[in-house]
Order: sequence, then C-alpha cells, then structure tokens
Amino acid sequence: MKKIARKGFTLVELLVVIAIIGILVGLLLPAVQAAREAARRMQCSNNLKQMGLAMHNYESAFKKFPFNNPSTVRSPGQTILQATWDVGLLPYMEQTAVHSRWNPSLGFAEGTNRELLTSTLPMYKCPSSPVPMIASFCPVSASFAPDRTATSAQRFNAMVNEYGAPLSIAPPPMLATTAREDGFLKIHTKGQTTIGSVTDGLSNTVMLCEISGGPTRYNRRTATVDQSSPFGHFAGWNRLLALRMSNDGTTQYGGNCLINCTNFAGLNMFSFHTGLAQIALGDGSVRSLSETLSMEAMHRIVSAQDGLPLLEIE
Amino acid sequence: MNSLSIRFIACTALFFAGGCGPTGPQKYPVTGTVKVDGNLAERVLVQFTYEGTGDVKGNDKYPSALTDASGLFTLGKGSEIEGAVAGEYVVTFSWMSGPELEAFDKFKGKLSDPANSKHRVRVPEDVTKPLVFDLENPSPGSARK
Repeated sequence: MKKIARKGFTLVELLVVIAIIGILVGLLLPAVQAAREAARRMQCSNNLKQMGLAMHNYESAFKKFPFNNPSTVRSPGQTILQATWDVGLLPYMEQTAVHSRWNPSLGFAEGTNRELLTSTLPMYKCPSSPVPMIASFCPVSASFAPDRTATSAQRFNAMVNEYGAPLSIAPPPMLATTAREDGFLKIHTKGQTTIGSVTDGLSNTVMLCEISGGPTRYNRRTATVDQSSPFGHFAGWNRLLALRMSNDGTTQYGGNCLINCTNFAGLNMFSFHTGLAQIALGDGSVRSLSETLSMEAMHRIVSAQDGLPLLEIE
Repeated sequence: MNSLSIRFIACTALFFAGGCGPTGPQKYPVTGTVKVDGNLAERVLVQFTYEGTGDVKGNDKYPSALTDASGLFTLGKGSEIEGAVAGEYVVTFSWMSGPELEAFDKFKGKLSDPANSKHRVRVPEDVTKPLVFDLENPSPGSARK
C-alpha cells in the first residue's frame, strides 16, 4: 500500500500554535504597555527636573523666583495676564527665541503673542496625557476672565502646559472659609518668592506639579467638557489652587480628593499615571505623591510657611 | 465531592476574598438631615472633625458630606470609604452657594469654626439612627461673602 506523504500541518496543530501565540501575546502586552508608560512617566519627570533647574537659574539671575500667574488691570474691563512663570522660564530652557518676541504688555491672545501661543515647547507637554501638544481652547468665560483678550475671539490654538505651580492651600479640613496659606509661587500682590521666604525649606515645599489634560476637563480619566481658557495652556493660569473634590471629580467639597480626581481649573494635581502625580520640590528634586494623600500631608508639603514637619507622601 | 475538597475550596475562596477587602480601622455609617431655618437644605457641607485621643490618621480625622436636594447626607460619600471611625467629633457646617468655582459659604464661616461649635457627635453611640441638625442661618439674606 502506498503511503501518502504529509505536506503540511493539521488544523488541530495550527489551532494549538495560534492559541499558544495568543496566550504569549496576552501575557506580553500588559508588560509592554507598562514599559511604555514608564518611559512616558520618566519624560514627564524629566520635564519637571528641567523646569526646576530653570527656576533656579531664574533665581540666580533675579534673586527671586518668577511670578505665578499675575493679572494686571490695564484699563476698566481689560485685565491681562503678564509674566506668567512659564513665560519667565523660557530663556533658561533654550527658548530665548520665543521669549524675546513675547510682548509682556499684551495679553496672551493679542497681537504677536497670539501666534507665539502655538510655539512648540515640548518641556510643557507630558506624553502620558492624550491631549495633543497644540490644542484648541475655548475663550475665557465672561464670568471668569483673568485675561479678556480672548473673550471676543472664537476658539484658538495654543501650546498646552501640563504643569502648574502651587499658589495657595488651606489647612485641613480645607473649607471655603478657611484662611489659605501661600504656596511656592504666591499670589502676585504679595510680591515674588525668594529663597528666604520659603521658610519650610526648599526640599520640603512643592515648586511645580502635574496638572495634565490641557483644554479638556477630566473627571478621573473621563473626558467631560472643554474647560475655559486660560487653564492648561502656555502663558495661562497654570497654577494649583488646591481644593478638595469628590472622588469622581465632579463636586467641590464633595470629598477629600486632592490628586487625580479632576484637572479642572487647577483644583487638583492631575496626571494620567496610575495612582500618583509627580512634583518638583523647591530644591529641584522630583518626587511622586500618592493619589490617596491625606489633606494633612498635602497641606504640609504645599504650604511654604506652615512650619510643620512633612508626613509620608508615597 | 468529599468534605475535604469542599473545605479546601472554601478556604481558598476565603483567602482570596480576604485579600481584597478595605483596610484600616472599622468605619460606622453616619447619615442624617440638615435643616436651615426649618427647611431641608441642599449643599450644606457637614464637616466632622475628630476630637478624640485615639490613633486616627489622615483623612479619617475629617469625614464630611454634602447634603443632597432632600437635605440628606451620608458621611464619607464621595470619599474613599464611607462612614466614620469610632470616637468623638465636633461638627461644623458650611452652606455652599452652588457648584461653581466661585461658590461661597452662605453662613459666612460662622458655623465652620470647631472651637465655637455646639454640635458634638459620638460614633458609634449617637449614630445608630439618622442625625438631625436643625440650624439657624447666622447670616440670613447673605448674597455674597
């Protein structure tokens, strides 16, 4: 009897091989995704490090740190933002070309500044965030308009800024009427921060933190509505005004969440990393804060003059 | 299936179930209502502040809740874990004007100072049934702070 030679694999053999490959890919994929996110997080951390160094170079030049987000009333009904920290740091991050063309007497959406808003400034973009580097922003709302130069315009494009500088924080229980204490870059009416004015010590105070998401309001990881300019873009209000939120990020004072519950208006630190947000301390070192950080621990590390020892942060 | 197998499966299930539960001290549910000048009030921040001497840490010292449209609150709702750990608390109130960024306390902070609050609650003794806080608005007619 003539024996027929086999010319290929049987269906069962192929299915077994495909199943094995599928299982291996299933095992490998989460590890690959985790490695990619770790790389993106490192880039975000490196941005904070660069900004921290730039802050100190600025301080060496001027003997004080830049303003946080100063607004100036130019004329009745004409308030503009001037000399925000992210504009001030440009010469110290090899962006002199943008800085030298920036007109500090105009608002961020006026004249030549409007074009400069779309400059590519990669150090202000965290790659873990899904928003594009140049994003479309709503004009400021009529009731909340620190820079009205954009109110009459339609949507405009701007370089996102996914980092913020702490302006102020209230001690627990952080009520609406609790007196707020200065953060690292205090409100401009109190003058510019000097090294000596950070009495808690540079290594005990947050200088910069992540506030990711650009023009989109995120409640947890869910994109909801567009938040008004000037939050989340270059030369805007990139400041942390810490306020406790509900766990789902929707309600002010509805819970005690201060990290990763919302990016709205700089009320929380906010990142797309799992379980944490990154910060640069005043000494330029970069750390992570757990998103379950207590109000007490947050207050102590954000307030520049509370005089209290730090609590565990990770 | 013999009894040894059943015991093995039960123990394994308990082991895994036990590993996923909430950690930390036991919390007791606290619910109640808030009235202002006799009317059930929405968006009142009911703030508990721990006054005991126990080893209570972090946000467990400050459980809080906002009242809903029916004036009802559930302590810790909106936080990681609902409820409050055992101990004595001083209770203060802020009546938020709305959900917006510029919202203000319609009590003007007059009921939010723990040092001047007359409301004290012991957990769990006082919370076996819903609490009722009947407040008088110390700043009636306040429009802005």
